Amino acid sequence: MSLKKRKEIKDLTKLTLEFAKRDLKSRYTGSLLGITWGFIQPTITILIFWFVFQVGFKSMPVDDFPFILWLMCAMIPWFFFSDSLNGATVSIIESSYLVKKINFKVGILPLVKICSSLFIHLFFIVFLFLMFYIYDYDFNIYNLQVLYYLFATIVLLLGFSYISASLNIFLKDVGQVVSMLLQFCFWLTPIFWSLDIIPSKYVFLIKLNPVFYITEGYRHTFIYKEWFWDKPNLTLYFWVFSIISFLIGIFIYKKLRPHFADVL
Amino acid sequence: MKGIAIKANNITKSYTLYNNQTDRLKDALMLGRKKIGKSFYALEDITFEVQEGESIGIIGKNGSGKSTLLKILTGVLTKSSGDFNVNGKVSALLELGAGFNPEYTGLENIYLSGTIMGYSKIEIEEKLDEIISFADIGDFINQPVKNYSSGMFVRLAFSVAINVDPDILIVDEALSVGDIRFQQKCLRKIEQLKNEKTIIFVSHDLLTLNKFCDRLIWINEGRIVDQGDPVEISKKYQAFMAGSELNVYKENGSAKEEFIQKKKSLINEIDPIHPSLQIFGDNKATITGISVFDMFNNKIDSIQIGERVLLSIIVKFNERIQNPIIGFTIKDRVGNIVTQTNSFVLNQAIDDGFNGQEITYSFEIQIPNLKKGYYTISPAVASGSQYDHTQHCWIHDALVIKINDNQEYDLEGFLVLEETKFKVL
Repeated sequence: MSLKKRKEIKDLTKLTLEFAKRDLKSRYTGSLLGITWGFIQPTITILIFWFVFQVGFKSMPVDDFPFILWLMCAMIPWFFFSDSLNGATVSIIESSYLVKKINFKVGILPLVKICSSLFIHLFFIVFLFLMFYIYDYDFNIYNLQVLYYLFATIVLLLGFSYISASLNIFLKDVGQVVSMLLQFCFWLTPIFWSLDIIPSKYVFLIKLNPVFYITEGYRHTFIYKEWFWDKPNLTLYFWVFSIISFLIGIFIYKKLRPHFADVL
Repeated sequence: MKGIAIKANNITKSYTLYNNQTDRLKDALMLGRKKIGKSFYALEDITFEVQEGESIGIIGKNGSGKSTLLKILTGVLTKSSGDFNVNGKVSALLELGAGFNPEYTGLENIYLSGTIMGYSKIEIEEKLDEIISFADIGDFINQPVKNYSSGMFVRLAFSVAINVDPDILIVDEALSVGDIRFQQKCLRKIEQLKNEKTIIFVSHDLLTLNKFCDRLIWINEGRIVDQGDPVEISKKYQAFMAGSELNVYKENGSAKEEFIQKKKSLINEIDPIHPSLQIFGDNKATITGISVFDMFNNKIDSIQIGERVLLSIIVKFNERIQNPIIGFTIKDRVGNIVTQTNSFVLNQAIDDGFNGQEITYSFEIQIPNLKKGYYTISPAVASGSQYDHTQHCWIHDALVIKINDNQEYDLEGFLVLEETKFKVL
């Protein structure tokens, strides 16, 4: 790799991080609590679920684990996923001033959204560790897997983000469709319900959903103590799916990029 | 030995016009077999070179493709074919805006632009004072840019653009928004940068272009018409613009087509009233034509101050009008009435007009010492006296004339002081 190329990549990384910081800040500009809202909102959602299911419905511990911990393990990566995808979908339209007036590496914009959501997500991973500590569970080697699943989530997100961000410029409907699909996906993924309640002949349908791999992965990491290579089929399926959607994302972005300034 | 800053080879930009966005999307992804939309060429085969340190002006009427060209050179738009090379860091001020986020404050936008240009926070901070003091917008620097007036906006944008130390500076018509003092300040700055930087300048202000540019490129309808010495090119361009004002409407309907045909056949006769103009009045008499001639009976639209000219007006009477009065008003570019006169105040009694009669009236006037620029003539027909009359027909700005004052400098005011003597006592 030439020196020039390396410098370019370094510059782009710097630019992405800088923009991610700005994005985080600007999301909550004007509000008194500022960036704190980024943490309050998901926390409140978790608390509501906890209250409704543990206190209200008296949900039993799942597999001998307190419901709140079990729920959080899947809920937290889900927040990261939906937050990033929603953000990335509008990322380019939102910054049309960068597309139309100056020469800007537009390609980093979806990435910026993923990065800014990642900041918040990292906080929640720490929060998760804290909760487990409070509930008297020790740190163990399986916990390291969180890095692997985090990486898997980002790769999956990249593909989806480039597809939806590029298409959204041409068809504003895409934004609506994406947020609708995310709602669907939330209920179709075993996040606050267990896969056990599904008749076993339909389980494969649920497993087709790549987000399932991630939410279950976080649970394996923190609760069930299983390695990802213990489920080779699912892992293989996930990576094939992610890489194909990543390639499709890049293809669509490359094809549509020259038209952005004309359309916006 | 100076290198080449910009080299453009046969740049073409075509837009495809689609009926809806879905068609565009299909085309872009090449899902359909053949192109669905209609093509429109914004630029065709643009080829030119700019040397390092050269200042280039680009002129052309609205919609000729100047901005499109600059946008392609800066990488905002993608060319359809051809290739180009830009050597060096480009800082561009394209139309209004320079990649500012309207929600951010001026200060935040300075940081934003700096970051995009690849400067670190410390480097930006070093330049900050200079940028803020040049923009000179006071406390507004801490307000969101969306609350700025267009003048403030361009002040800040220009200030950022020139202070990020570019190799190539591209300025697209932006300065015209600023007030005269800021314009002067910018021009001084540009003059200062002129020798070390490559500058590309789009403007409609030929005076400025002549002053600052080493070369002018004239673009019309997406093609380079001519390029070369600024004075030469701007003369050609002016001549072209004076002739093309009327041809613009060529495509809009047969009435206009007819008008142009008629105009062409009457080289040294009075022009009919342009069909896009609104004619006011009670229709008892109508003004059907107006032109200015020099004393040799050549039709002209560009006049020297002090020159004697004939202003001819054709009036068609649709019924009998007693004691008609013919008059006109000269207005400046912004509508101030400069002067007016009519046959009544000139003590000229005119015979009554009868139905169907078409009569040409002519004023011989000496053009006053007006400052150079465009002026309009609005003719009118009335009847009665100066104190008590009925207007039958009047047409606002029926004729546009250009007055030249032969002055080297462009001063403020309405009039030129001629033969002014100055001495030290």
